[in-house]
Amino acid sequence: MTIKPAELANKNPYLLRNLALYGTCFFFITVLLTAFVIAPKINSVFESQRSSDIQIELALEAQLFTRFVESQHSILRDLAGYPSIVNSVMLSNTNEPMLIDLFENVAIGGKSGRVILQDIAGNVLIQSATDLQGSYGIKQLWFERILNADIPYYFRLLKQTGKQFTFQISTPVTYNNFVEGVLSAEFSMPLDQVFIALSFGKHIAFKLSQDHISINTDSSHIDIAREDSLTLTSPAVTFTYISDDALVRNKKRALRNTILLVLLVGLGISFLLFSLYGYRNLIVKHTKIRVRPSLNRVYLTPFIVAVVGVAASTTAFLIINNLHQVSVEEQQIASSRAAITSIRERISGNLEILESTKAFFDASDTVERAAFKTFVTPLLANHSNIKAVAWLPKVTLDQRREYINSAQLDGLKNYNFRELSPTREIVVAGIRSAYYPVFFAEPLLGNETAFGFDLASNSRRFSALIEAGNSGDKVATAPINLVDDKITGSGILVFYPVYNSLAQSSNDSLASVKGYVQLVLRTSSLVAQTLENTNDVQSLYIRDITDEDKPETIYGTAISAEHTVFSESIDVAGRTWRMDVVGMRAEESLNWVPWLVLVSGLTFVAFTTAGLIQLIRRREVVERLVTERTAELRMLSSIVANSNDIFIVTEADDIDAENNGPRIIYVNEAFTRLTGYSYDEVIGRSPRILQGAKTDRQELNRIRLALEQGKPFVGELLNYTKSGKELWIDINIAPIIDIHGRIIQFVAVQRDITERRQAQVDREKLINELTGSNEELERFAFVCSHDLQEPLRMIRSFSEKLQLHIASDLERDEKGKRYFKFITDGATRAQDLIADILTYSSINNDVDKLQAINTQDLVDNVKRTLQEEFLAGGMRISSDILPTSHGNQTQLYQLFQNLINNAVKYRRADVTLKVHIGVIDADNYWQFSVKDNGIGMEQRHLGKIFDVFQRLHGKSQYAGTGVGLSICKKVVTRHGGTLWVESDVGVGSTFHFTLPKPIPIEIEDETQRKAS
Amino acid sequence: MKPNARLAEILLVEDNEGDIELTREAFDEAKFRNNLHITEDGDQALDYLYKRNGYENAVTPDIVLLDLNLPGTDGREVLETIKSDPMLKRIPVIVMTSSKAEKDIIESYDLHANCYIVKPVNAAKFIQVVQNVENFWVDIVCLPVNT
Repeated sequence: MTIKPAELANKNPYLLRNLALYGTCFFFITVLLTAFVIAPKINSVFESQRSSDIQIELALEAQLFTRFVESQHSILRDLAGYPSIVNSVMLSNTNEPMLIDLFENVAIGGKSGRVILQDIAGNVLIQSATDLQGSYGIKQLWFERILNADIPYYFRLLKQTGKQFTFQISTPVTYNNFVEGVLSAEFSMPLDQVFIALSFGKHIAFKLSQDHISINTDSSHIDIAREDSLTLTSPAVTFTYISDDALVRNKKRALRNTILLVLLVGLGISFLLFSLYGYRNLIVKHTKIRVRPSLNRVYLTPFIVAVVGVAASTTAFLIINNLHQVSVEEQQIASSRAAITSIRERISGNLEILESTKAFFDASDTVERAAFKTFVTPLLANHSNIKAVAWLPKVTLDQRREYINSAQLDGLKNYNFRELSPTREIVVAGIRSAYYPVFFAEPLLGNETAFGFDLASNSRRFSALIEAGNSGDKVATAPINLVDDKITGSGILVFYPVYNSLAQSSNDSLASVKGYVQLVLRTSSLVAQTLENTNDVQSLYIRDITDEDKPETIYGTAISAEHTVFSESIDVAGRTWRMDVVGMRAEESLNWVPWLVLVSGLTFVAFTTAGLIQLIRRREVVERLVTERTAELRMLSSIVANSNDIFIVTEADDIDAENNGPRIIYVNEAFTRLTGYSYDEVIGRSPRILQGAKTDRQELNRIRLALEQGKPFVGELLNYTKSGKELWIDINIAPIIDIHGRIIQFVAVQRDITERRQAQVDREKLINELTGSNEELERFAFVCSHDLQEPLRMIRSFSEKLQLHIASDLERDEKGKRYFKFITDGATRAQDLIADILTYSSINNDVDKLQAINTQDLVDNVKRTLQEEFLAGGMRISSDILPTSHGNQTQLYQLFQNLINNAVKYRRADVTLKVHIGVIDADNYWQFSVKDNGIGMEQRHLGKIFDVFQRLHGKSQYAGTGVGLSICKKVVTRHGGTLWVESDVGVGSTFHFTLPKPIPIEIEDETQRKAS
Repeated sequence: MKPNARLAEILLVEDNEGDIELTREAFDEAKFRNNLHITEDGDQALDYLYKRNGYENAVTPDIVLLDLNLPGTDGREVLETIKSDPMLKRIPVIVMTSSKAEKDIIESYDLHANCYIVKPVNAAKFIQVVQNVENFWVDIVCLPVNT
């Protein structure tokens, strides 16, 4: 079975997210572990490994060195065991040719090996060479210690010349276990024969120090020195292992970079996966209904993307910054090295003056003051940092006077040998065996006070002098303060011995010293000038560390640890200077690279996150809309589905097609219920299947026309159910228009109005029937009335005739008379009734003869007919100004007449009758009233007084048929008004009736409405 | 059971003078002596029965002959009033009217009329019917004793 990628995605839509989530978690855990556990551990392991490596190597080297020394010593010891040497010592024989021969040929320290034999008094018995480097005086401490057997042998470093170094080993010469003399040898060895470390010469250097003498291998290739020392007791030297810390730094940095790189890759992958997940999740449609997650969860993905992205950008920034730092540091180191080199070269350049001056003295037997000046002045011209070049002759006490005189002869009036008193005042030098006074000095200017100063008077200077004299090389003093035009600066004095060429044989080089050439160097200004000419240095700190316990500052101040300090120790005329340099950093403009990476990374992350958030927002909106619309649609569809009205939706095509008609695409349940067609039967067919034989074709045409024009249609139509039953529908068709304005469908809402239609038909039929029967009845009543008049007239006239005929008989017959009266009255009443019925029924006939009627005229006419009775009874009839109304003249006359006659008829006998005819102008009609002060009626009778034949009084009281008010009611009703009465017994009655005003505008409206 | 000494008190409610005349003649010729009281409309009849408005000394009738079509308060209302009053409802009410309408007959009996008689058009028959009514209601029927 194969699974398509899409299917896979559908199966597990969270695959990417899970991958990203697990990946990120894994990476974060790894990174945390790395940062807080592994990295420090590696670091410390790294560090301790290195430390222990160094210690081991240091110990090894020290051990090797010790062995080397011991092996050299053992050679010497073997030599000391020679009987001839012992003899020579015992006998203080200084002239043993065999020994001299032996000494000269002994292979100690190579061909230049020098051997010295001393007796216990310290006298040199035999020496193989004159240029001994060590001092073998009597009062030497080491000599005493050997004699006392405190130490098995004595080892002493002497000097270093390039890659060669010289040392001295002294061993006792014993006889019968008593020390009888001391045999010393001076060895010269190349450094690399002694130090065998594997990395020697690359990133490691060594230094041996003993007292103030130290020798070291070349450390110029070490960038950042780190020194580990081990002090050996035998031989008594401090063994120092100098390693390059820059290496460690680089390794650490590389480690850090590796971790960061792993982090970057991890974060980058997580970022990509999350971004992909986020976007994919938003773009791919989920088929299943999504449970809406909470707001927090919705924005979790962009949040993670942002966090991971920021972390990745920061990591990238750190890596690039690190790499950048390396290059910066390298450059700093290069600058530092350049600065140191230039300082060293400058110093050595200055010291060259010493060389040439010494050569000058060596070449001349005597040097006059003028010659000195002539020689030195041009040399000084190029070296502004030299305060003075001076000649310090060795002057014995005997020669003192002679020198002083000579100087005074040369023009120095007050010349004398001087020294510094304990109170720090310059006084004339005391008595001593030898003086080293400043005899010549150039330039004169600024050095006047120095003339005559005896260097031997100052121990510090004197020791340097002695050392120089012993070594025959330039020796500098420790830094001193130079007062120069009241500007104090650090300086050094360098001495270079000049020997008597004639006294070479002497075993004491000091003894043959003729004098010293002295150079006074302003070191601080030299350094300052060097720095002025370079941009390489940020800060510089120079110390004299020849005496390691007491380093002395030459220039600058100590540099704080936060800087990348490049250190190098240089040799300046026998002294070791340590220079700590902070090189100039690279141009800051290079710094934009990591920042650019950071900014662009963050920007990318920001855009990605913003994009995600934007998409999420959009989706939220869409989902909300969809939810709302779905609910709306559900509501609408449920309305449609459950409606009792038929809903049919058809396509908009084919509305005028001959056979097919528009296709039905939806019907609701009401449709199937009312038409009998099932849903499946009608879908795809046309609504025409509902039409049948009696369906109004014109109506169908109107529908088609409306649909073609895209207009809605409202109308009624006869349809047929599936079983052929007639179904009247009220149809309402409306087009459904899409967003482009095109009609895509029609929806027809149809209501079953069959029953209503049937009811209408029935009602019309009933009305027709009723109208027919009414007419018949009226006709019948009319005919009846006329025909009834006939027999009644017979009864009446013949009973009257009979009465006359038997008048004589009736004279006595009261009963007979009464009977006749009953007959006549009955007939008369029947005639009255018939007349009234005739009037009542005839009201229908003239209803259409409407015309403007002046009601005032009507009332006046009625009054006129009553005129006589008015006069008789003193009655009063008043009226408002009555309007012109609209109606049937005869009927309205009858109305007013009946009402006024009633008022007259039912008047109270004891009160003068007052009748008032009023009118009120209501908006659409006139409201008339006929008010009297008659007998009134009881409330309970008011309901029936308008009924036909209804009477309230006996015939004996008030004559009448009970039709009058019925006629009034009918007249008012026929005119579209209403008639009612208000009455109180004993107070009077008021009859109200309304007559509508003619409203031509409304009639016009009506016609318009019908037309439209 | 029936005290012969006592006159039968009959209330006639009728607005038609001819009918009054005929009824009166019928009762004059009757076997039993009676006292005929005549009221011409519904209100008068009720005044009589409740002994008010000038009828304070009236005698409660043993039977009532009631026409339906009366001016003002008509026979139906009078009938309803009598039959819904506990004091009067025991008095037999004989509806005598010229209406043959089914509606009137049913309505009258619904209002507890004791019998319904259509007035014969013929005068002799009218008198005979009235006399039969009297025979039946005065002689044959046992009426409650007035208290």
